[in-house]
Amino acid sequence: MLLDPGTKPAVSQATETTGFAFNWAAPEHALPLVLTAVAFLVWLVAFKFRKVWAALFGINAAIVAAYTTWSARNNYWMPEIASELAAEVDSLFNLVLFLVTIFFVATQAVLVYTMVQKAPEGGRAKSVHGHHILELVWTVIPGALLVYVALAQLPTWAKMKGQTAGTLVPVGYDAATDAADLLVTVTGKQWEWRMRYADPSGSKPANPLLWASTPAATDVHMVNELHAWQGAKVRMMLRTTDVIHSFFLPHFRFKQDMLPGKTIPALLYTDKSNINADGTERLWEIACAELCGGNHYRMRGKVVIHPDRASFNQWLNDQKSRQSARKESLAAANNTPAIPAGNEE
Amino acid sequence: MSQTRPIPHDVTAHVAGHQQPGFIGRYIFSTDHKVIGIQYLFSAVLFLLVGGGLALLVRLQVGYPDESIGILTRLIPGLARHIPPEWGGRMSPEFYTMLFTMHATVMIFLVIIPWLTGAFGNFLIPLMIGAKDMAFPILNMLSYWFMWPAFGLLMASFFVDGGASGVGWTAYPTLSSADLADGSFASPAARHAGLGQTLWLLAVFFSGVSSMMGSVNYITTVLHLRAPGMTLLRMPLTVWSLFITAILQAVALPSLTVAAIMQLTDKVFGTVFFLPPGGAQFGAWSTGAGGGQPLLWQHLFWFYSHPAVYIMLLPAMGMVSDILAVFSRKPLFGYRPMVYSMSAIGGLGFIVWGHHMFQSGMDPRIGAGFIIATILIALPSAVKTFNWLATLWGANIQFTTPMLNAMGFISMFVIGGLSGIFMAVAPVDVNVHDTYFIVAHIHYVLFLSTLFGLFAATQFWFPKMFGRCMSEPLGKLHFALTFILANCTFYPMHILGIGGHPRRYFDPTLYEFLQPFQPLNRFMTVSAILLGLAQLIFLANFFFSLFFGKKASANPWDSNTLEWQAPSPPPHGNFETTPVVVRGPYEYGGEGATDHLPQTATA
Ligand code: HEM
Ligand SMILES: [Cu+2]
Ligand SMILES: [Cu+2]
Repeated sequence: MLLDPGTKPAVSQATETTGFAFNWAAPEHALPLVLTAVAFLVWLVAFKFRKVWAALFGINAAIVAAYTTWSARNNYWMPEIASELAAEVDSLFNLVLFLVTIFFVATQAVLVYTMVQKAPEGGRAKSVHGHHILELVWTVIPGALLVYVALAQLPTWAKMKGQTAGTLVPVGYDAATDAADLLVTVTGKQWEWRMRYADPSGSKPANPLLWASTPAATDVHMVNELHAWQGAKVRMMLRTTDVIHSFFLPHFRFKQDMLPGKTIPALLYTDKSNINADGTERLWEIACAELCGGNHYRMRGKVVIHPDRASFNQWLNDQKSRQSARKESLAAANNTPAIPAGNEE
Repeated sequence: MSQTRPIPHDVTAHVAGHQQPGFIGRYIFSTDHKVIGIQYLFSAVLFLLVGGGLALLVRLQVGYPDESIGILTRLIPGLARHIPPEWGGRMSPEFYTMLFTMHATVMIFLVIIPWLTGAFGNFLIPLMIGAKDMAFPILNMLSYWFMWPAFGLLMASFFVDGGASGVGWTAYPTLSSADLADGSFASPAARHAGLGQTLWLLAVFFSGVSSMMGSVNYITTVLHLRAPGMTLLRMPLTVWSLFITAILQAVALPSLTVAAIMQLTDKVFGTVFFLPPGGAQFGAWSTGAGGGQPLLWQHLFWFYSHPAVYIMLLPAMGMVSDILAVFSRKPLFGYRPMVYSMSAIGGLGFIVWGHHMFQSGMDPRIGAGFIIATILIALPSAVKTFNWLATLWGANIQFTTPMLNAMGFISMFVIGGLSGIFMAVAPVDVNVHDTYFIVAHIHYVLFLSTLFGLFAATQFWFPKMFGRCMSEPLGKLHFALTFILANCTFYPMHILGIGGHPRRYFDPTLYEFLQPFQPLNRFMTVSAILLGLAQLIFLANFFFSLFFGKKASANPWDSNTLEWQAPSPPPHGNFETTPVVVRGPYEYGGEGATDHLPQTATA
């Protein structure tokens, strides 16, 4: 196989580990205990000062907010952005994050405030049953914001689902007939991804749907590696031979299930290369995002976006000649027909 | 709306004229709604232990994928079978799929739904509307005993060849439906998709039938057996929420039941409802041609399971509302908006199921419709939150254990609801779908909201159920620890999901982009273990208080609703005289002689 599906061996050594290596000095082990102690303390103090319960809620909300901010600042956040569409998705995320932060802070603050507020005079609260204007305000304002969020996402949704004309309405799958710059079939099976490219020397397939179901002997096959070049619009035809898999490219914010019996056309925009100037590669991994059996977690692959079309072409031609050399030598050695697609190495 | 309605004579006569049943009739095959409710309560608490144990095993694996679980094999019978020697004392990836599948199944079908609608639905509805029992007591008893085949089948499935189901609680075909069809009940797709999955489907069927019988009963009871003066708009929100939940169940459940039967026949008789025309190939083995679509299962499944998530939340919302009013000593703010928003959630809940399928092969044009509906469903939840906060505003808050848990519910429901908005933005959802972000969302709404609601409700109604109170200090300790530790266990999952960490992964450290998150995974595992231990406090408090708790008076919380007018615990037939309702349930505070006016009080 071209890329080992894991950095770890499939079956690990039959040596029994000695047990859990808890390093209590490590923050991830010490912190839960510290926080447990805090909760315990609040409980104790609350016997005397019942309003200290507000501290429990306050501390919790504050930690949640601080920890989220810290994660975003320190790169425990979305992976590197690989395309403009991915950036668009992230900005939608940020829009929602901004709005929900306001609601989060406001509601938690009110909740904590009510726990420390002064008791009403004589211990008797006013008998208020409701308020029409208030109800109206807190229905209409969030409602308007929500409608805005609903509409603001539609262009991105359409684009994500293959609409190239820039309108709000996505296209149906049957209308996705455009072969784009590069056409590739990705077939999921337990537990690997098989990529198939059209013969680089042949003509561009006119009908992607038809092409996806009619492999040719000259096609170029890869396992677990998706290649394209920077700036290419890639038409991927997603298929599966057994169960549902989900083709997940975290850096592209791309995820599409493969459904048995269907060929699903998808578009991938590649606005960035992961080959550095010095020729090294930043690893952009592929993962499976739909449970597909025991080795679901092992459907690991990678995406390589070559810096330009020429280097991609060179790579594809290399693959092609390696593939035909292999087929010939195999056929000569065993007098057997060419190996089935995708089973190289 | 409905006017005062007398209790139909035949029903009351039937209940009142009952002769005292013997031990078996009274405690085992009882038709008394209170006993049935308590039976549900006990089984739910028991299965909480099972579901929690499974969850801890899941967490151990994700946090420490390289460690042996050898020592556990000595503690848990049968576990050793799943630890192949060549894995060095580690569990196998297949076994891991079984753990999370059965964790979700047990929690949803055997804990949350039975505890909410089974235990509290049964116990509270007749008491709170002033009825002597359910409309159909025998159907009610059957509904509980139909849960037992579900319990039995699911527990037995752990011990069959191939083990219990490991295809996820969503059971997507063809992973779940493919079968070797040679009579062996084995699956070509996965080790844990054979007989275990067949039993799973049967269990879902039985639990569905049970819930359906419950729903019919609740709807009828609420519509026909309300005490004189108990108009619909005088019903406590608990009853409203259970009523709406029952309607949701009655309408949505057939879809799941049918889907389960179809998958069952696909597995057992080789029908091809979910098998595509081209069939499926597993290595050298092929299913042969089909004629269906896995997409069909997804639609049928989510047509039930989206409403189901509200089935698993609405009753908690209702009970929390009542508890808030009692311990705020203040009327619930916005009773009608609360009723309307729960109805809106119920209605909208039926047209949003597609938001679980944004990334599946569903036509993207329909997706746009589901986006709008999904976004809108956040609105009634927001309105409810604001009304709860307004109830607390200016209140004379009593920090009892039920109150703390109810406030915990509000605090946490805000997080769960807000994370839902990210996912209602389809392009964002496509990215976070099937990552830990979803796991975080689920647990904020189901664990940190519903379960806090259940802890609140259990401690609140315990005196009425058993005539004794649960310990307040222990209850508060349990709350404080659970509140902090549950956040430690589940909040970082959001961050993991944002980073792209897929859910249901046996070993995330295989991936370079996930390796930086591994300390976080360990943090959550340690927190989860402590969280699990903290639940033992609840169990101890529960069982200890059954026998040694402080004796409770009829109305220990100075509450207004009808159940507190009956003795604790209420006798067979509930009320000595049929209560006559003269006002709504939330008359707390104010200037009167007492700070509360029971629904029956004439002054
Ligand atoms: C504020 C309103 C809410 C919105 C907008 C919302 C939205 C969503 C969306 C879009 C998904 C699908 C995510 C995906 O798989 O990609 C989802 C999943 C889920 N939601 Fe919600 N949600 C809301 C509230 C709730 C509530 C109140 C509950 C339960 C009490 C709930 C329980 C669940 C569960 C269990 C799943 C995951 C099912 C699974 O895949 O296993 N949600 N939610
Ligand atoms: Cu998979
Ligand atoms: Cu949903």
